[in-house]
Amino acid sequence: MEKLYKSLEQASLSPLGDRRPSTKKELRKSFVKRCKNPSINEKLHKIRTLNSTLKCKEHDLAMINQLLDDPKLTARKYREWKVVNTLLIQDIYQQQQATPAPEGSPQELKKPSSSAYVESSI
Amino acid sequence: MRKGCGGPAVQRDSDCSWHGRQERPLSPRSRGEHRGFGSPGGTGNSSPSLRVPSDLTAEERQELENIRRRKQELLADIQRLKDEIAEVANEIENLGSTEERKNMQRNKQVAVGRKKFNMDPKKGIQFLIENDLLKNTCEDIAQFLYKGEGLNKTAIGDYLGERDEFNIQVLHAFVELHEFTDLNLVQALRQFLWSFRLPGEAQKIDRMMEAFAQRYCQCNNGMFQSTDTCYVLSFAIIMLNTSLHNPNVKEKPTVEKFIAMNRGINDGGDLPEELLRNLYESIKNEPFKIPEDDGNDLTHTFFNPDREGWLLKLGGRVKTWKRRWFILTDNCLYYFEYTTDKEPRGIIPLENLSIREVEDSKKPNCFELYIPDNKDQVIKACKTEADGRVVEGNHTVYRISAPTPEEKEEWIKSIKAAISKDPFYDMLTARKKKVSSTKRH
Repeated sequence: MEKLYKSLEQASLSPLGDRRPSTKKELRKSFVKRCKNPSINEKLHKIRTLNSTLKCKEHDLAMINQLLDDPKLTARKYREWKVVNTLLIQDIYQQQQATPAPEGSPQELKKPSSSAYVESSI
Repeated sequence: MRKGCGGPAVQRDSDCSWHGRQERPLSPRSRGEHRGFGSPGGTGNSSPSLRVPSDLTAEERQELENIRRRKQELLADIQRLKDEIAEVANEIENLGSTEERKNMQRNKQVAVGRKKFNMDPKKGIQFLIENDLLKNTCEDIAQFLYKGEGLNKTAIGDYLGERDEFNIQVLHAFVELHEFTDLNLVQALRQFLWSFRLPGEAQKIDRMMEAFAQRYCQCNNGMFQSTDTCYVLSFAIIMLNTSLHNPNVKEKPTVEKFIAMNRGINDGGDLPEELLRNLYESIKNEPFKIPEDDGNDLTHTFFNPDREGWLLKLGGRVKTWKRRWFILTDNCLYYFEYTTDKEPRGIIPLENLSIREVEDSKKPNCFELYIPDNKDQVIKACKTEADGRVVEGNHTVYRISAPTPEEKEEWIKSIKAAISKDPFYDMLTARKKKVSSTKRH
């Protein structure tokens, strides 16, 4: 019976006969195309990105609340918190610096020293 | 179960790519919204209820103030995001339907309930119960699913496959509605596998086929020595069906092969050859009719990740650490540059992988994905290069660093739950052991 199973695996099939994504194209496609209707597909991805961003912000908020809601906050605790949350702090400062700019000008782009960008080479 | 994102916890490194914001920098939304918040006049007015440690420097007091301001911004961002999500979800729900919702008569409510069910079975059932269209008992719900009127079979399968205690009870009630008495195993499977679409996840299949086998044996006492026998034979038949009728399979099993592969499956003994022959012929002459996944199913399409968050990932060839947004869903790990990216930068299918904690000299809270028993094999994965090409992954292991020890634990736990071998594979391994230990000579 194992042979039978393996022969199905080789044919890129699940035992039930569904096609399993095996090539890299198929792997991507199975994520990107979740619904035949392109308009719905678009919205599904939209919701996904919104949810991910929401999670991210909720986490940041939780970190901040850890600090602000502490009834016994001391300077030392604060400094420790800063070390653990370096990125959050950087983010806040970049934000503050960008605020006075008029809308539409990508202020952040002019700050090479703050390394605000992900390396795009892999 | 939906935990928050990984968060910004690791200190800078020269080889680490930081971007400091979750959204792509050019998004106008991320700038526009942050204006107009914060303490009036931008001075360090602390709210009266807040305790400020007395030993802070002046600069630190200002920092705290900025942090408080940030909190307000986050609260607004979060509300805005929630509103937007609800809006888009509504749009999806309304796509293609007429404006019937205004007119909430009973029939229309049932129609709405069905539609909701097809998008999200749990919510659909909740809606129907709240509107007194369905009783909150497993028998009633099982009847509803068995009748299946207007219901998408993938959605039914999803609901029946859930791990919750209540869903399991519904599954058993559902299976009891099937009458298998005097049907041979193939006939029973035909009926069962047509009543819903069997989900892809191993544990779900296992639960459902176990329930099926129990019911079949209950209806046909004495045919098999144990429920296990029925379970194993059912899988053999399912695989036989695929092998015989799928054009991608080159070598079609003969009836002799089918009989041979089932030796010893009846608790060490053989099943009557004639029985197996009949089952073989039945499948050969007529394949299973399985509910189609027509690609318009909304049930599977909504993303419902097991976990997501920021993690650091060590490169394959170039050993640099990069911060990526990871999403665990569909038994795969996807990672992105930004939370707002529509397409993943990389995809790591978790099938047949293992996970272990590791110590790393540079980063804390690390774990690794690897192939057990084959440390030099490249893990099947793919990623997008900078120029947009999609290429195969080049890792033999994936080393990942979490921001805190707690998050490391949680990721490991979630990934472990998602890594699943096929029940088929597990069953085969178990069976091999069983047969070899009861070999007759």
